[in-house]
Amino acid sequence: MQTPSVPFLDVQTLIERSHPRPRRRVALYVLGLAVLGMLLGAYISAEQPAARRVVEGLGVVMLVGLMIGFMTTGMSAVSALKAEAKRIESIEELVQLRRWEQAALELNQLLSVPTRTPGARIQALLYLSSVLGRYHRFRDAMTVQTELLDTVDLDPGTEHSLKLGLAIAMLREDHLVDAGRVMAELKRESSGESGGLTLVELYRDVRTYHAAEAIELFHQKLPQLRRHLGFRIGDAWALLAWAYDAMQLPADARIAWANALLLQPVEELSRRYPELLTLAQKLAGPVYISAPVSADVAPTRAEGGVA
Amino acid sequence: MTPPFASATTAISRVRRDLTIGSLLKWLILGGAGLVILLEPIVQGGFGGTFILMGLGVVWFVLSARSARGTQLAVGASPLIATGQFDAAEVQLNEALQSFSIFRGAKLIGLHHLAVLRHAQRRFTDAAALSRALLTQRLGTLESLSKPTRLILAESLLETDDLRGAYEALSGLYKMRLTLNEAVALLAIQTDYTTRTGAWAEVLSGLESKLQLCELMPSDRAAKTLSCFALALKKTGRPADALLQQRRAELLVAPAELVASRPMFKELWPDASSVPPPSK
Repeated sequence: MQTPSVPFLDVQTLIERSHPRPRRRVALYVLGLAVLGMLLGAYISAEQPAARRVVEGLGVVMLVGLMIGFMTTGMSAVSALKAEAKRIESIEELVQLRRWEQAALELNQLLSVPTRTPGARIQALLYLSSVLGRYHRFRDAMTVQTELLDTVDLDPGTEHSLKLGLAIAMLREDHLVDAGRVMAELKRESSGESGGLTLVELYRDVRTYHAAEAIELFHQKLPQLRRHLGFRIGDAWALLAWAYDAMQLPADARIAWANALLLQPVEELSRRYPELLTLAQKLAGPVYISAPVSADVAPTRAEGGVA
Repeated sequence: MTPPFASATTAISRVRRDLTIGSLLKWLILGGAGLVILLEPIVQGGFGGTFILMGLGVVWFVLSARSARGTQLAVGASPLIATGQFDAAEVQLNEALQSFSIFRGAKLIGLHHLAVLRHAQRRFTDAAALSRALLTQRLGTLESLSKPTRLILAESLLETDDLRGAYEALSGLYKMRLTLNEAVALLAIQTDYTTRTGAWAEVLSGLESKLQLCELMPSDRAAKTLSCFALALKKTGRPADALLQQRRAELLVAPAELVASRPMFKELWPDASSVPPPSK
């Protein structure tokens, strides 16, 4: 099937075109026609007994044809569904592996035509919002996220992740009030037990130049960040480094930055948080591994470091 | 409310019994319907075959609806386990496994999720028994369950120090085509296994790509895997590289927790006080 041409990652078009087509009731029409055929056959048999054998033969052929037709249609529908699920799975893997270009191409193609199931559309739109964030198209990402939050009944985990993405996009677009509203919602829903939310809060503090609050929050929530963020805790260390630097605590900033770089490449950090670009240039150079290793890796706060 | 299963053995025997009864009943209904269709035209004057067929149809429909409900309950337990609502998942799985189902699917999915739950609760002996029981069943269209079940089995056996059993479970997975998430899980289990057997060269082979996959793991799993790499690097005379991986691991999980989960890591953090890991 030829995919209609769509401007690359045009969000509105993709949202509209990806709606699954309402199911056509072909089977019902076919069954209706079959019943009509049977009635006609019965009428002809009654009127012309000589034609009875022919009508019976045709009836058997029709029944066998119907069975084969339904089986073939069913099987092709199932294989199309499986193919779509496989595509979604491969897009998920591309996003996980940060192969953004390939993921964007696949998503553009998939969402340019109606998906087979609403679930596939939702998943594809979720990945689209991540890809848009990667390309710094935060307005578009917000459009997709808002569309999903407004129109789909999502499970709590997915809704939480989506709102986290929305809050980040809002912060990047300087919609601070809206971001604050979304973060308050997230806080209420997760009872403050979300490493992702803590990371967004840290970023808000960096974005609004509340360095002391960022340092305070980091140290307060470090166990939670460790538990929830995996390697993305590197982001939190990088934001902490920015905060230390802003507080004129260069030694602490250097340690936090070194920790960040142990977990995340500098390019990724600067791409995610443009505020870190200056710090990255300032602290550029080889990363030294501090030894000996202590149980708590957080640098101790210098006196007066926290307001 | 139905009482929860006391042990994995009880759940397994219940599932096995239900599977036997379910398939017996299914074949009885299908056989009965076939017989009616065959005999109705032969028997002089008929014997009300249409009504019998209708009755069998109604029974089939009712049992199918019950089975669908069982499947729904079993599938619904998955998000509960993922979000740590173990008690709610337990109740739901209990109901799914104790309700009668004519189809194997509902029971097998229930058994799989019970294994996932026990694994998440760190009841590894039960998780291993349930996974083993599931893998002995004919999975048919549910073949996709076999890979995650094998992963749970391998990890549970490792946790219960059954290295030989873990090896057997792992070797079955090498022949299968895995998704990225499954490959990541396999890497963590395989690294744990090879570290515990002291196969340092095996632990370090393809280290660069293994480190990339490691970044997709959740904190505890990533930290454990990095610690295994650090230990292998130390053992093979690469202390600087070992220190790098050790530092990365301790940024993710406190060393005391790592040492508590695997005493062999004491070699990396001799001063870390062993405290039990937080309950999940």
